[in-house]
Amino acid sequence: MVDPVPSLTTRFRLNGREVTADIPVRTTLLDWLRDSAGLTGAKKGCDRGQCGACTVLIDGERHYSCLRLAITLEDREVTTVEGLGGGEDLHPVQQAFIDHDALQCGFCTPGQIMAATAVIAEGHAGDAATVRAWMSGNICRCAAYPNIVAAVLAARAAMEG
Amino acid sequence: MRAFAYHRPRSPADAVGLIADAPGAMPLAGGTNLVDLMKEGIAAPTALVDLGALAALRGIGIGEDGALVLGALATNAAVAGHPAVLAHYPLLSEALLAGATPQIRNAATVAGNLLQSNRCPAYWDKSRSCTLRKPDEHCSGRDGGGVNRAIFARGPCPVVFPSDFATALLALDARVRFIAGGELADMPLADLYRRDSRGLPQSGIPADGLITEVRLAASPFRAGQAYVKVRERASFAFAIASVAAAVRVDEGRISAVRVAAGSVADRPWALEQAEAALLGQRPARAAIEQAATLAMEPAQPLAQDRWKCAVLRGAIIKALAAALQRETGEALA
Repeated sequence: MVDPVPSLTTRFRLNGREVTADIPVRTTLLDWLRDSAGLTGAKKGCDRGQCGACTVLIDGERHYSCLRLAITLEDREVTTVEGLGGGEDLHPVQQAFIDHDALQCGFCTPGQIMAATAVIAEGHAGDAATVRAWMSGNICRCAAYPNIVAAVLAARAAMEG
Repeated sequence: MRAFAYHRPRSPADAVGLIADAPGAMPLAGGTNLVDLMKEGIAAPTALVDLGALAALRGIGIGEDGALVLGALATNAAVAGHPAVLAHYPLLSEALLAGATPQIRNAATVAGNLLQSNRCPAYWDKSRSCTLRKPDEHCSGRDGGGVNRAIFARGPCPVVFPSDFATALLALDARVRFIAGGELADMPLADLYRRDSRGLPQSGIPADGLITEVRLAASPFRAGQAYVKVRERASFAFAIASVAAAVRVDEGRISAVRVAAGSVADRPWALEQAEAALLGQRPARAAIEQAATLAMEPAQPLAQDRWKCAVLRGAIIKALAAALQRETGEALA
């Protein structure tokens, strides 16, 4: 008989809404988002913090959700790609990825978009070389990199108006 | 991943108490290393003591004695971008930004970086035999090609310690403060990296201890600092070898110099022969090349790792040349 995995009641904000959830101690934020919250935008590529497909914002900073135990999120604010735009209204980064055809298979795209949003907020989107360096935590196996860099630069310009 | 008890203490003293009270408990900071180790079943703590609520250990600033103080839980990103670090210890920022990715650096902490595990593929693969995981087993990490093996002071476990940050901190004579047995204590960074009675790598922090901060005394170094990292791709990779160099030139002579190498031993490795050779010399390429040759003399690589000596020698020359050029503002003679 295996002991049941203990759970912990955890309160945090998810895409602007208060959440109170009973979460097994060993569940990562990525697994909780996908399996319990029904938010499948963040993708499980490697599950080892090596690909970036699971990138989300925690308190406005980008993190790999596969490396974060969900119970450690007490009082934090989590933003996933589902919370970035407003329904049919796309966020400027999402629109720029479409305009610049910044994807092929699309599996890495939600993580790329969340990382790009952070790169722009951090002030690391001034030129192509800087964007490439600061987007290096997200791998695209289709190698859509030139278009991703173009999309990030265009989104930055659009957001600065 | 095995289940575990979970604690979220509100003070460092409570954290130390919780770690000491439960055999098998481990502290959790950024989790970028520990969560992976738990997924692989290599680490199986009975309890996690989450340090995430200890805001007092996240600070970065200049102390009363002029020392730079880095809180144990300050993130790698926060340290790399801090104005005091950029102004006085740009080497630290350069080393941190050469490591991992922006996402990892937003989570990974000062103390977690210093206590991180090795990245030997045999250690991380439970289907392979490993002397570090099971001291009676053969070390399969020694077999065949690879980039993770020590070329200096290799012990029964040939792994290297991969931290870029620790390599830079060694060159800057950092000290580590920690709580152990209810007392606040202090040690040079180099003393963090020890070996047990079998010669296997072991932390200098007691199992019930907790690092609280890293301190750097006011530095003699100015602009003359450089970090060179050789790796298989331009980012998001651990080093094959890395070098942290800091130099000061007064009246045309090298008046202070520190050089340390990373990913070449089971600890950050001080290149003392190079330092001794350069002190008092005029900045010149010939002097650097001679110093690099002397620094490599203690190297004893496995036969298949001899190439790594050439990589390190090149990195030493490159780092010293960059540091000297930044110090003097002139190209090397």
